[in-house]
Amino acid sequence: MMRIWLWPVLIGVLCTLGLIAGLVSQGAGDWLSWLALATPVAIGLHGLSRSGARPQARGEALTPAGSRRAGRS
Amino acid sequence: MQAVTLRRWGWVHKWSSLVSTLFILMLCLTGLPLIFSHEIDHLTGNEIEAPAMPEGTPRAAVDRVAAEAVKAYPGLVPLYFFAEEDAPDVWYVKLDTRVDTDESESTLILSDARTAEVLGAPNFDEGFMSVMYRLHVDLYAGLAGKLFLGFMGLLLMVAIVSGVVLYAPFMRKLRFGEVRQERTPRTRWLDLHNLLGIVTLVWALAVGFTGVINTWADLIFQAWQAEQVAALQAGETRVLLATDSSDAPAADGSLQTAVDRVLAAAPDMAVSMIAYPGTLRATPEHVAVILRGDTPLTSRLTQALLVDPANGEVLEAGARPWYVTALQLSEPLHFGDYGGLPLKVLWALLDILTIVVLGSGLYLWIKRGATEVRS
Repeated sequence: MMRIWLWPVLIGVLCTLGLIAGLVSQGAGDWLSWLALATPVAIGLHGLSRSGARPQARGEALTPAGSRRAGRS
Repeated sequence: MQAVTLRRWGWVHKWSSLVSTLFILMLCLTGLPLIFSHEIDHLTGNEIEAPAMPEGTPRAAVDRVAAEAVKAYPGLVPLYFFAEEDAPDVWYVKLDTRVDTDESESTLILSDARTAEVLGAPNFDEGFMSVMYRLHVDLYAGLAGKLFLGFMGLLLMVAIVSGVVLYAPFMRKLRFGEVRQERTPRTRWLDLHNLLGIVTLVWALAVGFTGVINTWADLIFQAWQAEQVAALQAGETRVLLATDSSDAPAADGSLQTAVDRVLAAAPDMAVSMIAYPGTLRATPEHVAVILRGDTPLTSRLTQALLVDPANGEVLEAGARPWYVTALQLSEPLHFGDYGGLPLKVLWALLDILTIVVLGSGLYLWIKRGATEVRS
């Protein structure tokens, strides 16, 4: 449980802080909100880019998956 | 989690998502340019600006601004004056045929605050940004459209919460952020859907729920007006400046004097909006002057004072109710306009990630057959 939720909870708390920080203070608050909200963006884009290495990965995986699908239809 | 419970949450996630996805996708796509509407207006020259004048040029009385506006738009009456924090030399003046219309056909013009000259009317009714705005706000269907989109937003909240419940069982054998490369495209998109969904969770909940609250804005202001009128009738008001107070210019029936008296009663505050009697934001007999403070938070949390232009009495009819506070905090949290351009860019990127979550969710549903057959 701990293993599954540790990162999501940390990111969630960080985002909450970021959303509020920009509202209550300017200057330092703005910087805090930019850094905090950049975290989910960075993790998300990283995840997307890794799956963007798909073409090669797909080339290897396509044969078994593809033939299985072809066999079914 | 028991298999039955899991299946039920799966059902909730599937249907709340399926019903709302296309509308939420539309909201995400139309919202993207709206984040930058200020910058886009500026770049396309759609922005109307007041001519430069020496600093300290005296401002015209708001009565004269109103008179010039009515002269330029015969048949209309002024409803509101709006002052933007970053454009102190202009008044936005809203005009309509009567003070008590639903304001859907109202005209918004810009007037020079120093010469009272009408500068022009921003082109809100045509063009790309107008289409984006109307699709995003009310689907061209007025209050009904707003409430419908609000309901879709509530379904999105249900979809997000049920998605979080489903996150744990899907991640039981995976590390955080793991996207399985060796499996089928569906597995890869499932992992991405879970990853992007969980990292954008708090932002999506905040923007989604504040969007829902914004759809209730008309109803919230109606309730506040009713509450203020009721407080006035019951005599439950706080007099901030009495009729005969010598701290301010004596009332002479003019709007400018009324506003000056409000500012005398509330030092350190600036005018955010002036509402004529009979409009949604005022009462039938009083002018409402909405004031803002000068910090990021107090500039959003406004204070509404009422003033009788005939006798100059300045009243506060009850403190700002909690639901108005909620609405006023919802606006910046939905628009993402409180942290400069970097925050707007982050808002846009998080919006795009949300579009990927929605798109991958739809893809997972369309490809569901493959897994069901296999398992």
